[in-house]
Amino acid sequence: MNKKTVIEVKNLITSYDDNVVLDNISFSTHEEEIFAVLGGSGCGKTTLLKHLLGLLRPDAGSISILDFDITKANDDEMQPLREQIGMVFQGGALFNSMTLAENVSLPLEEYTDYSTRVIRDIVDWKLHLVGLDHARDYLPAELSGGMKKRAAIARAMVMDPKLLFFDEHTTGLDPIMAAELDRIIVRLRDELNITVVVVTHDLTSIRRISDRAIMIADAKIIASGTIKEMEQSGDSRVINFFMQHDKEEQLI
Amino acid sequence: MSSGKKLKIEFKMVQQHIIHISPEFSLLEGESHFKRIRSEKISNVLIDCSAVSIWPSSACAFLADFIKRLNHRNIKWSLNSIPEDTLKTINFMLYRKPAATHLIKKDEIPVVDDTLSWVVTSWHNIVSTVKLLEDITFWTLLGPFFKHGFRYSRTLFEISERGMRSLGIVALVAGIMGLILAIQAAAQLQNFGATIYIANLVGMAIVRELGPLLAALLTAGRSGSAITAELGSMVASEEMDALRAMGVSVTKYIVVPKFVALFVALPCLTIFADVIGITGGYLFSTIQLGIPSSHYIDQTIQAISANDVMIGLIKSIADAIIIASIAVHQGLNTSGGAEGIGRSTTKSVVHSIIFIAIAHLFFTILFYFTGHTLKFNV
Repeated sequence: MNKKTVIEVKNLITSYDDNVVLDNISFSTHEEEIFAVLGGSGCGKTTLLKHLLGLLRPDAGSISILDFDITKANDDEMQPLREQIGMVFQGGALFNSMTLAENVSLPLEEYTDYSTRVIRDIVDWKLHLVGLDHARDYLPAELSGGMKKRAAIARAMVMDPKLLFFDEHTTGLDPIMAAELDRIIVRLRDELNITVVVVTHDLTSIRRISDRAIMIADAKIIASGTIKEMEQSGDSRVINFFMQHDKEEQLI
Repeated sequence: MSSGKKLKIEFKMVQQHIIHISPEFSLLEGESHFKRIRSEKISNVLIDCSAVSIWPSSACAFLADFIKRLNHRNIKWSLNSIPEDTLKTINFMLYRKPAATHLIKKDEIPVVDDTLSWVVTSWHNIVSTVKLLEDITFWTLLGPFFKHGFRYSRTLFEISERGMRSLGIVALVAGIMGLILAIQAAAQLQNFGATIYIANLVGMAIVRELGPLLAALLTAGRSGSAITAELGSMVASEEMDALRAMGVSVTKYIVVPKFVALFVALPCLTIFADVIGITGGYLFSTIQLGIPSSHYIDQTIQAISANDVMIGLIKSIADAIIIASIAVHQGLNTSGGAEGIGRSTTKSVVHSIIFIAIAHLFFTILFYFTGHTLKFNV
């Protein structure tokens, strides 16, 4: 059965000053899949993610999310879509002046008329999903790196989005915590039937969770498909990326 | 058959001069070798590296530099006893190409020189600050009519943070300023037996100019810098992106409470500075000069009109707008991590002080020409 397309990017071109960061990028993701954007540091992964979130505007090309062209939309038109999207930033991006519960409840308080009790129930449930029941009144500064990432997932999930983005979700975590986060991502996808887009250079994590992926290098997509299909790519840059990673894994 | 001419063939031996690189090869050593090569007009050099066992990057760079100079003079060279890895490094240093970038042509305003670039950047800054002010005005005036449009508790917290917590430093500086004014005035007015007019001078100067100026400068240093640093670090830690990704207006959620807080706190701080400054002058005049307390108070009340206080307050409201908009603009446009935050904070304070001075000059000129200038009611 053909699954519905959730994100469709066509011929995306973007540049900073005169330097082209993304050159003719095209891909699509389907519902309930975990889609990965792979590539080395500085290849333009995070820039692509910011375009998908509507935080940056491309020079050319189109991005359609849930059948809505975001490249031509203004902030007001983006609003209904933003309520269906969750984003987990690299460092968590939690608001330092607020407790964990306040961070997680922020979107609910902004967009809904729910009573304080209902909001509290939802927030506690989301914190429970990521294993942070005990930390609801902690400030972000009192949390470890892994806890911050899990709290950021809870905040991203609080509006029950259809689409969830992750930026380098395993960066700065030990292998056990990274594996735990991967398990959480897969579980959320399975239980809540959401589409997940993960931007990372961590191949171990991608091998564990992704259904399909694209790899970006020199501003272009150099490989796409499942990880197995990508590993059989003839492109030397792809082979190097996989070999380098496997070598590092052996060293660890 | 003989041609009559003898064919003369010369065999010239091209001798290879050997240079021994020492284990501590440096630019200086390269220079001395090079000088010798030039003075002896050597055209072929064998660089012997057998004495060097460790090749740090600096040694590779020195050797590469030496070779570049030989190439420049068309002197032939070859290397002896150099490890393969080191050779790779030196080859990279000698023959690397500039990093390839994908260049495209864009229809941009051609930047003729730095001055024009500065004008364009300044214009962009002014336009974005005006847009920000538009947004702030919208959310401040209409926010309370929307659900969650105005954060009352956060605004109260900010007022306390920007206003209440500044009282101590404002009191200290304003009190000292009042004392200084009174002492300076006393030195002059005693010669004419007019010490009672210290009250007029201190009162008018503090209420119309020094009170608002002091409060504004202290607020720019204390609160403006804090706002810029806070917003800058939020930008650096992607908190602003997180808000935008959630569709929450950064202006409404973060900026407006700070803006309203300064708008409320600065006029209050100005009145407070006025009172403390006048008290400073009063204490000196009554204790040191022996002016009767009631005389000094009467003279001050007579000297200062409601109009003077209003002029001071108008200045302080303008100062609040200047400090808040510059601090917020700098904070939101921070880039470059910790260093960028420092840069933005410095710019915020410096720009605020410059614009406060300009604003005060503007108001002084305006009030001068409209007849509201400083006068003594003698």
